[in-house]
Amino acid sequence: MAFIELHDVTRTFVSRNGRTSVAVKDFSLDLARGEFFCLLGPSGCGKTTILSLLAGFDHPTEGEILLDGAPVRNPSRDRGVVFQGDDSLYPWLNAIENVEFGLRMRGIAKKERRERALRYLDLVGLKGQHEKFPGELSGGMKQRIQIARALANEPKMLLMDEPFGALDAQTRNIMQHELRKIWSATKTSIVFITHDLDEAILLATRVGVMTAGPGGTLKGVISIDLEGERVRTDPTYTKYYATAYEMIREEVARASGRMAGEAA
Amino acid sequence: MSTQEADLGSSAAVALRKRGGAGQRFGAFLNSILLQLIGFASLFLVWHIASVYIVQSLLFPPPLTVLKKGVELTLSGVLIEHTWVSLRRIAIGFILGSVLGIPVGMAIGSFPLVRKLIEPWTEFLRFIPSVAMITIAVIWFGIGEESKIFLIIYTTIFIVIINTAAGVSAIAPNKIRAAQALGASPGQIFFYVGLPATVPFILTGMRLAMANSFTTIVAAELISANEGLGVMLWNGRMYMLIDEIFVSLVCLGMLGFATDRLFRWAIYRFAGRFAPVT
Repeated sequence: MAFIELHDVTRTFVSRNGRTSVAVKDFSLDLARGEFFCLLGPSGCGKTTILSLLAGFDHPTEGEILLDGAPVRNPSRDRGVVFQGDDSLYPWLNAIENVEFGLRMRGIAKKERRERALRYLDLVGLKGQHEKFPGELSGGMKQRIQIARALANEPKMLLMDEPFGALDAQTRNIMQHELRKIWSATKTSIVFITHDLDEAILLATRVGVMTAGPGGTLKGVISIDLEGERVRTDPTYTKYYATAYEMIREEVARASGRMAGEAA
Repeated sequence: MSTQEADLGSSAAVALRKRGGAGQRFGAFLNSILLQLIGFASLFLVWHIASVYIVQSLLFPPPLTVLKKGVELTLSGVLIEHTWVSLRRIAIGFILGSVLGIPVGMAIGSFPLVRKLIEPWTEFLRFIPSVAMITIAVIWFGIGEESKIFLIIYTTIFIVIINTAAGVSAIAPNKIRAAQALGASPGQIFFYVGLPATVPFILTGMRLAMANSFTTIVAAELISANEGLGVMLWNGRMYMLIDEIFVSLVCLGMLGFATDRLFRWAIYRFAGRFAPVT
């Protein structure tokens, strides 16, 4: 029994004018504990739908999702979520209060949750910024708070929905390396959604490539066997990049063809 | 040695910056207060010129005459009594209206079912102005405190409900989802996410309702009451006490200004940190 199992997951939506659209079709995947899995796909392929289903915010129309053999039904603290934007942070709480939110909800004593929150704030590199409010922090720092908030709750896995998508290139690069370090230190299982091929190969132990939407599904999975810190100039890195690029190129072309068709 | 020097240099620079900052802050403070004082002074100056040099009528007394009358009425206790009565009515009605309106607004914003059930009430009643309700309020509750408090509740509650409901609807879904994924129960999400995220909207609704309360209380007291600033205005008309009319007008302006400032300060002080990230 795998840690996470998705069996033929299909999610359809009914629009206001009564038309049904398929977001994800027959998506099957097994994930092992401790994996860093990047789900890569062109925009509109349904990768965010997969994340919502894994988080339990949404439910499959057909098929099932199992975590440790038990079906995923609702959101729970088993699965920490890091969102793309900063609108999930609580602007009325400062950094440390945001991070300890989950612990506070669980009724953990103030002293203990402070210690734990501090530990995770240090882990994500926010030492000495505890008292600042989200409004006073940069985009990269806000994403660090989100990551610390999810980790402080000690979930079984972390779900990340293009968490660095809104950051500038420099900050994104730094955050990618830090996340890799955090993952190495905590060995938390991660499912990371991205449309950035480079990001996927830099981070993941396995990369899943999705077909273009509507009704996207898993096209194939590439294992990335690169130990330690990853560098873009490494020939092996380049080789993986080429393989993955070959897989996704066609899908991106299809996705943009579809969009051009819609626009016409 | 050189590092120490550098340290000293930088700390001196910091101190200097700090002092500069404080000086600047003081300057900005002086600037804003001073400008406001000048603004107020010009108001009274224009009034004075208009009254003494342009209109030249007993029906438009200059500020000094009104001030003298105001002092006289304050010393005799009449002004304080009327002001106190009006303010107390506003305070009781306003607080009750807010206390009733906030939970209703939260419920409307949270549950589509409640919204559908309650919206006909709010959408229908909010278009009947509180001033139009004065006659029926007096018939139902008499000319005493009850009718005034009823009217202030009436004028407060709908604005607070609508603003609160709008605030709940404006909460980013990801705030709720994040709380769910962190293990918060629906009740916890309501108290620790929904409520604080709505505070700025609630306070804005209350501030608007406060302005309406002034309108309503004066109108209600003009029509039927034994004391209050509205009564003072009415008596002024009856007995041609122009100075007293002006005293009560100035008094209303000052009270409104003061309460609004108080509200703005409260929003800044208590809700500054509740303000949405921009």
